[in-house]
Amino acid sequence: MESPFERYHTRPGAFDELLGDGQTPNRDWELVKSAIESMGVDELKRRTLECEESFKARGITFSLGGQERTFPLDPVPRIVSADEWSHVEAGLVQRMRAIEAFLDDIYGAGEVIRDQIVPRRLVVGSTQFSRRSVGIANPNGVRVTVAGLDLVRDENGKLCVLEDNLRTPSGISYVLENRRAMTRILPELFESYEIEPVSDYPSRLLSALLAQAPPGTADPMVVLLTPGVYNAAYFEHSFLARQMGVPLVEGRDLFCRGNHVFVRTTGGDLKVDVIYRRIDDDYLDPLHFRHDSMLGVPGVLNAARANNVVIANSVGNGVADDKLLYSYVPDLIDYYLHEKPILPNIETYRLEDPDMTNYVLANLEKLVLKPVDASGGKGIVIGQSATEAELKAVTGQILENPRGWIAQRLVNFSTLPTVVGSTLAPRHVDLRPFIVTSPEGQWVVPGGLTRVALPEGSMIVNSSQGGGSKDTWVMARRQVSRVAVRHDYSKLDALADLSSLAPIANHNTGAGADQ
Amino acid sequence: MSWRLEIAHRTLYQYAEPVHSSYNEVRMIPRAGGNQILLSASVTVNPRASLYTYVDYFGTQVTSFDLHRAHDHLEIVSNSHVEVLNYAGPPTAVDWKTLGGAKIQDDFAEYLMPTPYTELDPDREQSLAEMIRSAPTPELGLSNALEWVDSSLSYQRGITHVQSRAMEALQLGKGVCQDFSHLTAAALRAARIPARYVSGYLYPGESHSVGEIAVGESHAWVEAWLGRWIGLDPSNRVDHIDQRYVAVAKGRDYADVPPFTGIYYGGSSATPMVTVTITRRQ
Repeated sequence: MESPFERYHTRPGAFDELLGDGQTPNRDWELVKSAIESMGVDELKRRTLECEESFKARGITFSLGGQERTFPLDPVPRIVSADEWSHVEAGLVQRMRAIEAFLDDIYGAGEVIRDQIVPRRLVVGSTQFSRRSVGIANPNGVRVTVAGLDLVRDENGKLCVLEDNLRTPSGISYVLENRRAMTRILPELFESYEIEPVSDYPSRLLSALLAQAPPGTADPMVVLLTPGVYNAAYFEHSFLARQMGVPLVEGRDLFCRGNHVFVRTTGGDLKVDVIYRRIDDDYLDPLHFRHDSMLGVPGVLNAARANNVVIANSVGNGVADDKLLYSYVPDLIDYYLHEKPILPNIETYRLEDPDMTNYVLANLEKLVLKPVDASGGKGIVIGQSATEAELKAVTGQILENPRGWIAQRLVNFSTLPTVVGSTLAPRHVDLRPFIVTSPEGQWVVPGGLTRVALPEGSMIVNSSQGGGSKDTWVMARRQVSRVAVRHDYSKLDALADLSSLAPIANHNTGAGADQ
Repeated sequence: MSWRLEIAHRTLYQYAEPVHSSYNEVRMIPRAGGNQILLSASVTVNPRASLYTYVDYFGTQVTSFDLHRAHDHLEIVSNSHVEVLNYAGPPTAVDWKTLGGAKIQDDFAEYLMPTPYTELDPDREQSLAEMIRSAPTPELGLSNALEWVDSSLSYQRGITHVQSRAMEALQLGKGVCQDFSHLTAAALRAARIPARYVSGYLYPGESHSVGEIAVGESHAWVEAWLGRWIGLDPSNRVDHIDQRYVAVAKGRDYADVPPFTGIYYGGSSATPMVTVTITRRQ
């Protein structure tokens, strides 16, 4: 039988992470290659399908256009070397330190504006700048408890930052579930490789939340606030709440009295100290934001102002993940940290200068146009593949509101071998690493969510637009047993029998069982 | 000359059906600073509630409280004593070039951007900018703006409401102080003159004597930045406000300064009874 890697190739213009520069063989991939070669793609698919069935059965879905779907897992993992990961980790920590400093500054003294590093109009003109939360300072100094940055590997194989997501980034549940699934799909590889574990996440997040409780709180009560079952990420909300052992609540389960927040329980009202909220600023407090919001908790903002509760992530973080502000992050790293950026940005064009706008409008086919304050890939226009009508529409929108748009160089995302039919083909991927910040500092989940665009040539990886995902394996610095390769896969069928999968509830390993 | 004014601002909601709980914020304490000295101020509410105060982004004192017992009425009384200096300040010599400089335009960006309340259609903003900037100096440009607003709106109650935008008032040709102020701010911003919205109180008339209780009202006017902030009252066509004006809150538009906002559960909507009395003490 022909090896599925036999005809695997690099897509023109893109960097392939398996083949690399074509010169130096990537040793980290050898075992994955030989494992897939020995079992064949069909067997790999069979195991994956079984796993997907079990995902569906356990409700690991997201909602797409009103339909519940699983986030398809491609069983070929992405491999990241220990050396590269320590570089990425350092870059992410650096970026988050600068962003924390920036948020603290603009909701406080405003020195970055006074020193003319960032124009005032950029901050006060952001739809995400929250005047209502000025004066609310988390007593323990963290504003971005959970960040999910989007990285892409460019044509030269260099990882760059594409987007910062600092409000309510989602996807971590897929990282944890994909890893669980992969231990069933390719168990033999987990014996051969030392892979950095991701399962620490819930306990790390819980520790970060507990550490942010208002000073003097003896036994902090943490809740996870969800918009409810109709939210696309509801599965993740319930998953994390269970894993952390904290109550999953909706706005109607909470109420404020005298600037304290309480949760209604069968055992009476309990005081809440930390709210890990997964609902948008606009809906959080109808007294201050959208008065018609049924999802929020009236009074919660003033409870935070009075230092009686901590809202994580902080209100108003969106001003720092505005895509126009993104273009200033390298300057912020220099300004606050006096360091050079470790992870570069993608070349970005600001459209406030009419000359720049004209240049961009004349070169649409080479560029990607993004609305500055949207997330989840909404509103993005890729010049190369857009229709005449789409280009005309976006031109009109840019001319009307240049502050509302940025243009970026069209990057060919890197590719990874992905199951297509009965073989493997290169498909474009990005990477969303997650960073948890506690008062002690940043912790980066090793790896993160690799999203893959399944249609050939596509670079739209968003789960909301039909992308799939891969498990990301960060190689531990010391590999213990590189020789333990098993070639007799028949024995492993028993291991791959998914009927033996434990339900999640029994899989909760210790994270905050005292809650 | 300065005046000392005592202000009593009472708001009463009577609900046909009892309200079970409510969350409220009040902006009724006059500002301290500039030509105003705040001598004393208090907010009391009935039914009784514990009050929490903070200063918001725009420097306004906010009083917040929540109620959790059924109540069929809510009364908010704000009493304050303010000294207002009638100090016009030095003349402003700022010219169009200085005002249009990149630094000033960025420093005052917040008060140069349209908001939902003040946004007009682009063509009108263009023509207003030309009309206002055709004046030899920004100071004279203010007069152009006031004149235009005066000719565009006539003062009439009951046509517009608190959610009305400048654009709607302009189409109706009628409005109250809120509409006059939004429209003036819109015109000034179109001409790249920083403009902010002020809510407060206006002492009625000029003929009352010290000690006489006068019936006043909540009022809104505008400040334009021409080297310093200058207060003007478009609804009364006053181009320099004086000691009869007591400022409470300043912001980009009404949404930044509402005297009262609340969320309540149960009950039925009610129109508040509002009375403002102002007494000159000196």
